[in-house]
Amino acid sequence: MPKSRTDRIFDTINNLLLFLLTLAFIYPLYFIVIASVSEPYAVATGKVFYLPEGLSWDAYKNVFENKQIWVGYRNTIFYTVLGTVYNLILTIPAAYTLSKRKLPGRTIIMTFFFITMYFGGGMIPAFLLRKSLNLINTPWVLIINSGVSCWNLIVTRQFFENNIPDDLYEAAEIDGASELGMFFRIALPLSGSILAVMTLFYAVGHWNSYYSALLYVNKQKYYPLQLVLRNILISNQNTMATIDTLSIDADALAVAAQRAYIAEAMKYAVIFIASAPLLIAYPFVQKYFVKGVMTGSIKG
Amino acid sequence: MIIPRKKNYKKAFRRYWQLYLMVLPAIIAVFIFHYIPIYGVQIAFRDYRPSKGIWGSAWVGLKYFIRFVNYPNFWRIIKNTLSITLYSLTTFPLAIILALMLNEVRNVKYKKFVQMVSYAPHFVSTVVVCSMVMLFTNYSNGLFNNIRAALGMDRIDIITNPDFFVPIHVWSGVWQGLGWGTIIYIAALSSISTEMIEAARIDGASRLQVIWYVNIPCILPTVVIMLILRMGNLLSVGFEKIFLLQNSLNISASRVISTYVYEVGIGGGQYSYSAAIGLFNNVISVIMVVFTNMIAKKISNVGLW
Amino acid sequence: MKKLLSFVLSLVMVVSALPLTVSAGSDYFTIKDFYPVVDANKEVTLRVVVYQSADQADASEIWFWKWLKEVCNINVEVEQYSNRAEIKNLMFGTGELPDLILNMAVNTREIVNYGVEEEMLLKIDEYMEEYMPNLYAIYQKHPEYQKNMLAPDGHQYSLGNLGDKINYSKLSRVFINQTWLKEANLETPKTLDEFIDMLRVFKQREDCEVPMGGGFDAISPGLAILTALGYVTTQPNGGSVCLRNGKVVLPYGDREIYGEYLKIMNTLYTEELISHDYYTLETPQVRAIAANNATGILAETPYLSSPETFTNWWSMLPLTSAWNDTPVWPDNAHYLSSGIFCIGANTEYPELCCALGDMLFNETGIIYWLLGPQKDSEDLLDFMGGWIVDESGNYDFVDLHTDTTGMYGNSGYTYRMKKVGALTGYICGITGENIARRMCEMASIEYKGFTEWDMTHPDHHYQASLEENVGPYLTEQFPPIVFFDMDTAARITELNTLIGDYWKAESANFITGRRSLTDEELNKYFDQLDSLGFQELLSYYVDYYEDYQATK
Repeated sequence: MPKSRTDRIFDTINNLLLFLLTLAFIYPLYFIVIASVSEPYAVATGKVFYLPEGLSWDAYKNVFENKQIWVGYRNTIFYTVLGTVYNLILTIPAAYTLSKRKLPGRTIIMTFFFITMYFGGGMIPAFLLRKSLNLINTPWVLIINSGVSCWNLIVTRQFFENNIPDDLYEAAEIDGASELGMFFRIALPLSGSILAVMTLFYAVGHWNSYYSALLYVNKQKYYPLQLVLRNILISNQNTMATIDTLSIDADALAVAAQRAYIAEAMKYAVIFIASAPLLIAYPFVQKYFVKGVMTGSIKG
Repeated sequence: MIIPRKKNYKKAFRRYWQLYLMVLPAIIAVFIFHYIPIYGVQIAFRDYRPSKGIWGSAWVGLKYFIRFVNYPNFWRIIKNTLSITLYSLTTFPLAIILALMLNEVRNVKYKKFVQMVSYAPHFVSTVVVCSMVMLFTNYSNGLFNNIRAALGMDRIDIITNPDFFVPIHVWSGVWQGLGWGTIIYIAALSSISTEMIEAARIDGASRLQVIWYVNIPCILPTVVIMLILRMGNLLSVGFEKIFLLQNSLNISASRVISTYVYEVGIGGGQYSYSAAIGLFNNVISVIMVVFTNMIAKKISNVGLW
Repeated sequence: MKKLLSFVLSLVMVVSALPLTVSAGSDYFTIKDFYPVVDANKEVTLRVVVYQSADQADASEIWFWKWLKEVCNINVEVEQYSNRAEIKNLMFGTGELPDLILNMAVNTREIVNYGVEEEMLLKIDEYMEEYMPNLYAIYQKHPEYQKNMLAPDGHQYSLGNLGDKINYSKLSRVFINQTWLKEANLETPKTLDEFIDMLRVFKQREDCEVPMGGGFDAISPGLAILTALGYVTTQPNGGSVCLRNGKVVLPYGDREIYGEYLKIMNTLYTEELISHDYYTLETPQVRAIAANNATGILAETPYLSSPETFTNWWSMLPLTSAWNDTPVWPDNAHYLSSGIFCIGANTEYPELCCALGDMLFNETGIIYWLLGPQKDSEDLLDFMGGWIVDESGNYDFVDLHTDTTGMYGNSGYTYRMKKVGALTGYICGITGENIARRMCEMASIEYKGFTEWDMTHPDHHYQASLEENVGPYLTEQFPPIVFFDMDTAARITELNTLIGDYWKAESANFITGRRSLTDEELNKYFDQLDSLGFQELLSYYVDYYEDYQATK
């Protein structure tokens, strides 16, 4: 279709607005970058605006000196991959089932899931359950922890209901397809975008989580990345509080004081260390949205 | 003659057994991890003593709920919580608008770039977001005040003004979550058939008209579902961000339900009381969701059930 | 017959109540020198929950736990946590307590709730005479040390420091920029008026960013003013219970004097002698200003912000004012702590746990807990190099000089955390010179003792200034370890959420001038506090203090 004049005006305004928005997003992000390599006191007193002040990589060095970081990366990748696969296997078929309005008992099953969104036993029974299942301090507790997110389930179900017309199923049924067959041959191929979205949501959820690890894991070798980073950060900030100063030498004091000082810049450095892998991996996932577009267009 | 359709579960099972099978793993997982521990809900109705266990602790009924309602600051913390969530609700359409705008971008590289930039804030921790807010709103050398001073205006107290607390809390949250929130809408938009759009264009519709008459109606079910789910968070304001943004001068606006629960729960070790407040919150959330669902179904025939 | 029977029974009871022997151990362990050794044919496993600090390595890499296994025949399952609050909540909430709870900062509320009420913590005092000879002997000599640790039911549920030795590094502190003082030709101020005038002179300086550095939540300098008004408090914003002229007060509700405090702070605020951002300043900002030598007052250890210029700072003198003519300073210089070492009540081995705790009160025992054995000792288990000591009692670790990986950063503290000890410092047990002396004894060196401060050492420098300037004025403060019963504690928490918000907000409004400081407004403020339950809150502390004084 040739572009009309109104088209071009629309595009220009649209792109311009998006550009302004991007600036609003980008400045704080840029600030994080330069703050992480700046002299902490300059950051704290607001002297850092466009360029790093007193360029120093100490914050990053400090974090990576801690060998635990690599354990953290390894564990988190493990938990994220396995955990996401587990989540998807549970969620996608369930969402598909729930999208069938004619299914008897649909409302009951829906309510079954819905209740768990708002009512729960709390921290203590949750802990006792995992203890009785011998999950505490194993890598599995973080993988099967979340199981199904009801929120994700509802959104996926909505997608199935909305975007795949019933006549496709009716046609296939006449041809003798089974329910499972229809799921694999009709629904899944058309769900590229929602699968990509759910993978993203679950994966990022696993990647960013630390609270469950805090409660259920106390062996350092199983710590996920976020917990390692959080510990490093908090303990650097609290370094001075935990030291007994009278019996310490001047060098150690200098190390401790330096730690507390660097903690400021480390706050910002940690963001990168934690999210860089994801931000790098994201463009590869993004192409599935495009794929989704192509497979999403339906004939008729 | 109309043959009444009886719900014959045996027949249904034979016909649909594969569907039931597909939902079974999820049901089992949820049953184990959510329903087995759910007996813990009764902590809110008992005087929980760890030595007696949950079942052995004395039943006190609504004692802690009444205590919460009688708390002198009860209305204040509810008001503060609602101020934040209702204000935040008005920013709900922004993610949709941004998704629609992104969807219209022709240049794939530009589109991908903007998307990536908009997702990045989601990965910034609350701690850093709040640090930046404090730095940017600083009276003496914050970005906002520097700009004001450069334009010849007075410097103002921003973060110490209780009236600014809600906007600051909400807009910093928007910065963090706007881009991420567009993902679901972009996925929905990507499923709109191109034929429909082309047909509309052939009929002479302008870009805006296409958005209004094609895009929006197609993603409306998704929007409705998201809105219903959002209404369930009306009383949820996390305490971490509040603790990071509050100071003595904005306390009147910054004390919310979760900060109180933290103080009496983790700080004061009162399991039953904090459980009761949590349950109170949840009941109200469920009521809100069910209510919104009812309205949504009437208006748009889209709902959770 | 009945009489004979009851006589025999009472005889039996009396005999069985007598201590059998003076700590030879128990039926499954014996005490060798200063540590318990489990009998060879017994299998003992202790479950331990311990706080994990920044640099602390995994328990499997730490000498102390290895030593317990190899030499003492005690298997330990160590769980390390860095998040105390949530873990304690979970631990106490589920009732799943380990045998030993170390360094988890179990506070007095938890001791009352879970020790006294729920009986989940061991009553250590019941085992003390038999199984903890070192601590028992100390308490016999100084019963007042034990008094601090007793819960309302008269039992002791935790171990901590004794509160005996003076440690100047624990004192509250406010330092004055000496260069600025000298350049202004001023003496260290002795009265409040002199102090404020000094700040005004500081303000004239071009390089002055703020005369009195610090913020409400960030290294607050408020103590300078509060002590000038006679409050013997360690909380620099006036938010904690304290003594004034021997009376128990909560400063923020003190009708007599708090108004004056607000007026003084308001003066400082309007004259810009304290920062305009007093209520939003954060610690790094305050340190940054101090590091740039742009402020005249710093309420924190100087080398934390300015490691190079720490010699520039010297402690202030406690001030007198129109409302107080005796200079006072809170005496919190004693190592005193509670809740560092607790034992789960359901443990199978209470005697052994107590014996382990007793090690902390034995001079050699605590060295083993924190620093490990000395060089060439057999107890090193070929795992590490041990320590050496000089005649002043300064110790050093052999491994630090042979280490090529740089993982200890040449820091003795880091080394202890990564290799040696279970605790993060001298937070439980005996402290101070006894240890240094003992170390020299073990190394067969004559202990010369601590003679004088080394003014080139940043840590000694500020402590010397505290000893000189505030040392003579140390005044007894409100007891720092306070036990309330469960209901009172819950009530206090509740009142604090209401009252805390109000006094902080209104004080801030008064000080920044958002609310006018007229007598009328001040009366309204105090009246509102009363209506929120202030008098009730105060009464709990007044009663507590009365009881405390009575049993002294």
